[in-house]
Amino acid sequence: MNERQKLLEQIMAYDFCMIDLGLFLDTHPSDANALKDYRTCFEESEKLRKLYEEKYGPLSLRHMPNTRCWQWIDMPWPWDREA
Amino acid sequence: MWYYDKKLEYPINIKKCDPRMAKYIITQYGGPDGELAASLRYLSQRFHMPTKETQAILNDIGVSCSKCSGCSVFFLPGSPGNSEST
Repeated sequence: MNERQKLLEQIMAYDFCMIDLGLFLDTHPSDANALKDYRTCFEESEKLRKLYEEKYGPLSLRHMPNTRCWQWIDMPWPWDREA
Repeated sequence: MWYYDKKLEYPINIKKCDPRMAKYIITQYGGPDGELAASLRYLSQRFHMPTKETQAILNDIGVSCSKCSGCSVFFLPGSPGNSEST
């Protein structure tokens, strides 16, 4: 696994926690512990995503940099196999 | 409204060719009781849920289900994503 994939896996881990905590919070909307964990995951994920996107390119269409070329099509897709 | 993130919800790493498992997964994805059908059911049922908690959870589960097994099908034996395919 290369550096890019390692960073992406960290982002995926935080985002997976956010999905799971989000489902829990749907039915326990004032659980203080879950809210705190969600906040932590969100902040960590945002931090890593910014780092990733500066280094490797956009992860989503919402964060497309203002460049002369449309970078979305250059980045590898999740189903691309890399050595 | 959907947005695509260029990453998976959960990492996939299929190491060996297993056609029997592949058959289970593809049925679980698109079959009559599969994730795709389930996600559409959740997303229709959410409109009629009586509480805000249940509306939210059907919305969020419906979104999760429609994406959860989509990418894994590509890595099944015989598909272009699997290097062991023959």
